[in-house]
Parts: sequence; structure tokens; C-alpha cells
Amino acid sequence: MGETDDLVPGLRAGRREAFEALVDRTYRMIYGLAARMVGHPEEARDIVQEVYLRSYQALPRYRGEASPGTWLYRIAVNVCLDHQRRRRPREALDETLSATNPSPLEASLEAESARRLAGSVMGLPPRQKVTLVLRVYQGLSFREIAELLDSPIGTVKANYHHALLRLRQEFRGTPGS
Amino acid sequence: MSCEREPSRLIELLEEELPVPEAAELRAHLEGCRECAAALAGLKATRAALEALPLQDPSEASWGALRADISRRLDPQARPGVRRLRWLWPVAAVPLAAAAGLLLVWRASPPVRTPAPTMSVATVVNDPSLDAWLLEAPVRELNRYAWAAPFLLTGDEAARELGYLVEITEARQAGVVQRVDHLVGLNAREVEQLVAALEKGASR
Repeated sequence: MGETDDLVPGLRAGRREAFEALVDRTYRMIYGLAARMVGHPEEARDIVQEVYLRSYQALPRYRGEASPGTWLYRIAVNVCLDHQRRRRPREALDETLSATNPSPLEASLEAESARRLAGSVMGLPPRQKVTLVLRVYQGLSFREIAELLDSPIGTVKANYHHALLRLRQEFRGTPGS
Repeated sequence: MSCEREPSRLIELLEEELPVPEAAELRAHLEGCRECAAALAGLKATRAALEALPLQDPSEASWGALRADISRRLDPQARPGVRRLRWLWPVAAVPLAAAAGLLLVWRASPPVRTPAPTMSVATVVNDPSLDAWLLEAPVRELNRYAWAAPFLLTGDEAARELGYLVEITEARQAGVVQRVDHLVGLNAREVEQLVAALEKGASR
């Protein structure tokens, strides 16, 4: 989750410059998490801003028990899950995860298959989706994910398993798969 | 699966999170169990397809804008959009009263459901087009905007339903409706922030 341990003293002291350094080191990673979760660039940008606003507001309560990266990731996951709960279904398919302009490539079977898979990922239950994103795209171990989600590691593995199986079943029926 | 092996072991093998001895034992099993081998191949193919899904990274300019937005949002004093709205509230006084009546009528009517996009307070109030809209909007549109305000006071769910209210009263004039649609996506805390900022402006 990035090297951020050196920022602990500054963050514990509530220093703005330490927080800005944390932002510098993490905001692209947090955007990646948000974009994979919501599948839409504008929503992802809003989520990123919300993550840093919430974490800045929570800074006085940060005691350094977890690394700043882990602490921030936990807030980011919560914001993403909150967003999922509040969100209404989108009419347009995810712009972040698939090209929006038709092209010869997109017309190919592989592109269609990828587009449908991206849609299936968006349709996963939130806990399964966040587990999948953290594992596949953020490269976190099951143990790290369990820590972030405050869940037993068995639950995390089960969520990941169910997500992959569900995607496999949907993916199997698509052209090019 | 008719094979009695725990399927989650395949996931652990796939993710290389199985202890070496157990992984070796499971690989040996896979050589003789076509069902488990096919299941693992399917999971591998799905994972590979997931990894290959593209993510459109923002341009360098967009990264810079996002970084700047983050810092700006951390500092409430750097949100000129909120200050610009203060003058609007005296204009809003009469429509606010009318809104209570509209709310009663609306509660008795079946709402037309429309999807509502989400957008942060910072994005709404810092939107450069807000100035142009305020300058160009006729009084009628200002009234509509102010008429929306009481619903923000009632919390997250009611705020989101502003979109339906706009729909059933046929107030779909692009600028106003777009802005109201943006507002309806706010969460409860954002609504509180916005209302607090606006009330603070109105009291001056």
C-alpha cells in the first residue's frame, strides 16, 4: 500500500504538509481503486476527493496504529462501499472501463467480451466487488484485505471465490471467451 | 462439482496463497481429476480476462487537476463558489415558503423515477458555469432553484428525490435541472455542509 510510514510523526501531529505528502503518494492509487469500483471517471474523481476530505477530518484521531497507507485505504474502501449503497443504476455503461466511442477494435468479439465482463464486474455485490478489485487490481493479499474490511480471512476468500465463479459463469456465455 | 475437494482450495492455488506442501498435493490431484482441472482452468481464464480489462487513466493534465481539487477541497476558505451563492438567499425567501406547499402536493403524487448522478458539493459550487448561469438565469429559474432548497434540508433521501419532483412538475429546463440533478446526488453530510454554508451566507 505504498511507503508512507515516514509520514506517521507528521500525521500524528496533524501537520498539513504531512497530509499533502500522503496525498501526493497515494492519490493515483486511490483513483484506481475508485475507478475500478464505480466504473465512471467523474464519480471516481468525486470519490477520491471525498476520501481525502474524510481522512483529513479524521486526522486528529489518527494515532499511528496502522500505517498511513492502510488507514487511508480503509477510509477509501468505506467511501466506495458507501457510494455503492447510495448509488442508483447507471444508464450508460462504464466509461472508465471501456471505450465509449465505437471503433473497429471495439466491434471485435474480444472487445465486446471485455465490455460485457466489465459490466458483470459492476454488477457484483459490493463486498465481492471490493474484494475482487483489491486483489486483482491493487495486488493486496487476502490477509491485507481482511484487515481493511475488518472481516475474517475466510470470508474474504469466500467473497473472492464467489465473485470469480459468478464472473466465470457469465463470461463463459460471451463471445470470445 | 462431484469431486469432494473444497473448491476454495483451487482459488488459493490460483492466487498462490496455498502452503507449498498443500499446493503440491493439490497439483497432483489435478493431474487425475479432470473436473477440478477444468474448474481451475476456467478460474484462470476469468482472472486473466479481468487483468486485461483496460482502465482509462486520466491524462497528466487531469491528474494535475484532480490533485489541485483535493487540496482545494481540504481548505474551506478556498471555496469561492459558496461565497458567491450568498447573495442568492434573499431572492429565495418567497419561493421557500411556496416550496412547503409544493412539497405537500408532491408527497400526494406518485413520483416519476429517474436516475440521479452523484456529484460533490465542491464540484457543484466550484463549477465555473455556475457564475454564468446565475448571471443569465431569469428570475423564474432562480425561483425554481430556491424552491428546491427546502428539500435539501430534509436529508439525503428527500434531496435525491428532487430529481423526481423536477420531472413531475415539468421543470426540465436544461441549466436548472442539470444543477438540481447534481444536487440530488449529495449524501447527507454533503447536504448538511451545503445547507450550513448557504445559511451562513444568508445570515450576513
